[in-house]
Amino acid sequence: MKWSRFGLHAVDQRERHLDDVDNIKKTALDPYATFRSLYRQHRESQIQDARDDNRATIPVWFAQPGPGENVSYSPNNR
Amino acid sequence: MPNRRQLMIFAAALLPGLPVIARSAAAQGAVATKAADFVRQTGDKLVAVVNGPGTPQSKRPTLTNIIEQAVDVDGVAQFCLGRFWRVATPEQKKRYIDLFHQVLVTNITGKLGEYQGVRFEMGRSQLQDDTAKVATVVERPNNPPTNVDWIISNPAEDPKIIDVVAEGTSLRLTQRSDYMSYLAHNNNSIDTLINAMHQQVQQAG
Repeated sequence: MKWSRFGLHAVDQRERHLDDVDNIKKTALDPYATFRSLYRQHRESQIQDARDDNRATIPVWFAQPGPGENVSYSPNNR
Repeated sequence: MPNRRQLMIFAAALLPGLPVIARSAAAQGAVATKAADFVRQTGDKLVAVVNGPGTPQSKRPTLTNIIEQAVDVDGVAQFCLGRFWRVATPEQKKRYIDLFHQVLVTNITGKLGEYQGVRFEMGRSQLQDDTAKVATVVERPNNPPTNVDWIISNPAEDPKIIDVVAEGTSLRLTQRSDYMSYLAHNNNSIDTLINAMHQQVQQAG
């Protein structure tokens, strides 16, 4: 189920971007170099975004609050 | 370990500098706001043309006007030719810049259809060296919102767009990679590049 969904998603994404691809092929003198440059710049910005993401995270060894779970500890519950 | 007196002297020495820092921060804020206003005005004009009535071809003259006013096309053209700018003859430079203006407008005119119903929201604006970066979010129907940054040169006196960065991909860097690669595959001949650009413009009509 998961994999078929992934496949559909990929096809959907591909269909969405076909116009863009056609556009680049039309407007670029060297489409390969243009795609290469676009990919590298996009990847670089993804990495930079990840580096700049300074959200506080809980260390893995710390008790993780589950969804809807009562995290406050009281000895009477045990 | 500095004693209290030393600290007081140190703080007193810093005091005269404070208003200067505050003033320059205020001036920077004003420049950043000016750059943001410039982007908003230009964006509003573009959106009005894109969503307005008429065919892409009939919109071309208005679009050319807006671009020539708001974009430092000569500067971008020079940037895109990279190291070849210095070895180009004056004649080549003139033909190249001329064609670059046309290629830019042609490429934008070709994309008008996809941008029907476009709108944008302003984000934060900040100064980077001698340029300003103004963030916007561009929304198109049936498309996820896109982060677009506008790089503005000379934001204090005569603001001009020198680059558009969509989701981290810079338009002028991509264009330069394209031209550099084309030149590398064509004996570094600037004339071949100019001819190819000429063909591009002719094909688009």
